[in-house]
Amino acid sequence: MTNLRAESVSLGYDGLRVIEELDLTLPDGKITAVVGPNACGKSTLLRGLARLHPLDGGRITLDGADITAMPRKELARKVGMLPQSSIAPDGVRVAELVSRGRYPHQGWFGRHSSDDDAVVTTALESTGVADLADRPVAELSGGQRQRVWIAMVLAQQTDIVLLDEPTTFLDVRHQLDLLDLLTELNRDRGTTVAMVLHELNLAARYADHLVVMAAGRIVAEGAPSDVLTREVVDEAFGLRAQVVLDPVAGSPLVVPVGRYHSSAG
Amino acid sequence: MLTSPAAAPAGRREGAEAVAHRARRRTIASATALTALLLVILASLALGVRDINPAEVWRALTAPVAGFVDHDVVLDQRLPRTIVGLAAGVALGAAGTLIQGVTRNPIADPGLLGLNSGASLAVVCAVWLFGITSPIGYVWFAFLGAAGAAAIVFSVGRGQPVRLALVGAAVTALITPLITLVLLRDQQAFNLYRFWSVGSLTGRGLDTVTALWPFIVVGVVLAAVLSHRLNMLALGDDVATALGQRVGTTRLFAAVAIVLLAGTATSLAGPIALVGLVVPHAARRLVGTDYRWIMGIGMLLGPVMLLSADVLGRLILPRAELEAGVVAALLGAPVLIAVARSKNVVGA
Repeated sequence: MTNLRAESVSLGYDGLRVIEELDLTLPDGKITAVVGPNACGKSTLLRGLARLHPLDGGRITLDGADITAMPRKELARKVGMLPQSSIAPDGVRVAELVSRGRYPHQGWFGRHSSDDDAVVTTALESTGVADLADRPVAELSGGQRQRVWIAMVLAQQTDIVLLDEPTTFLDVRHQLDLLDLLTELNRDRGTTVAMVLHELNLAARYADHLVVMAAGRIVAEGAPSDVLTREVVDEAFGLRAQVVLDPVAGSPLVVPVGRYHSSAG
Repeated sequence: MLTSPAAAPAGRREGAEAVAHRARRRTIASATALTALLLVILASLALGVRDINPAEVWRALTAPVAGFVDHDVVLDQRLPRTIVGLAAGVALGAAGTLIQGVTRNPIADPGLLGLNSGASLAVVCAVWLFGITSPIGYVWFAFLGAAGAAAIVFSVGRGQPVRLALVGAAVTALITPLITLVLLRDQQAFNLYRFWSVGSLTGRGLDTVTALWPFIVVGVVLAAVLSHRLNMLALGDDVATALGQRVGTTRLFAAVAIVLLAGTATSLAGPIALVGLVVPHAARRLVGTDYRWIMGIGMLLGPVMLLSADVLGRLILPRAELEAGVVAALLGAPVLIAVARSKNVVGA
């Protein structure tokens, strides 16, 4: 059981506060989705949780221990993070990229053990990219490439995986595909998943725990069916909407109104 | 788990073959680079404006006869320039790989960071202000100048690739007119600079290498240790950090290694263009994207390129020599154009 928790955390850029004294606990072994309007601080929060962004105040703990007191490699063996700004070097092949996820488990020169090979193979297989192992990453489609990055994070073998907008740039089919994959990881391995998502309805469908943010604070959090109400959507997004039941998953479905269509009933 | 459309077993078998193929390729590349290095060292000892037969070259090295001109040429001229070329070449290959890796900039080289201009300014000042004209005297100035310029560029650029390139260009732009100013005032500095600025392996005694080799050793060890970290850095600062790397520390140590290596190379051979730029690209072509291999092969190809340039420079003109720096540029430019034309320009 590993428990990642933000305690009264403040984050910002060059003195400009984005998040003020925020508390959040990622439920262990569950999928958490963080949603909110642009610039609400959701990505910054996730980066803070992964120690990619320095805290202005408060602390982030893993099983009660302050993560800033931990060697980075040790943290990287417990918390994996896929940031938005990943770069696949030109010419790099799928298996090689995925094997770089073993870095926190290796020594100075990164000698590859048979253990590493087994982990990489499993990561490739469970993300369905094993048959692409020798292909240059640059030649893959957006959906395949994102799977490869997730395979790299899996090779890190962490109990917690954080993902910053993993479905951006993917078409709707590949968005579902990716979220299905993350669901499988969560179910099969018990991995705690937390991700920033843009698509409200997919977040509501796939998350066990939904966190709605606005202007650097949490507006509401909890089970999607409890959290995603008309009032919360209005408060967080300033958006008039109806919330109905998703006929497929039974989760709340936000239907925005807009200015040119009336909200009858 | 999700199934993928292609048949997995076939893909996997192909995978094992491809892995073996790449391993074979790396072995062949290493063997080729090592052989090329040995050949070019032999050529550098055996070939020159003066015709000396190989047997005599061997005798010069094993049982030299004092006062015999052939032996003196080998021992006092060809041997030192070979060793200078070896040292400077290894340093340039490693420094170029480090710079490109740490900045994720495929056209980064020591010149980009203002190292060459810093070294040049220090050398002309050494001549102008202190009348120092012997290599063993001005190597230290060159080294300090390179280190000073790099220190400014790295501290202002704070390790960020684009900022580093901009600050490097600014520092070079600032220093170049200062060099000109000194050259206009001092005839002696001008005379020395004409030859130094071209980049050459001649006229340096072994004492320069004896004085500077510890820097190269420390730089090479650092470069080797850092090479695996460059693999993570190539994925972006965020990914490298998320994988547990202290990116700032990596950049700091890389900066130290670059200053030691490129500073020493520039002190030894002058501002040699293109070796640090071309060698990492050539190494990538041979061994792929793993910086541990690029670094190793780069350290072999650096001296191969520099010494080949030097040897060719002795042979191109009848009874005269072209400086290694000139030939290296002539050799390097077409390689660079080929790299730019290929669809696989490697960005990191």
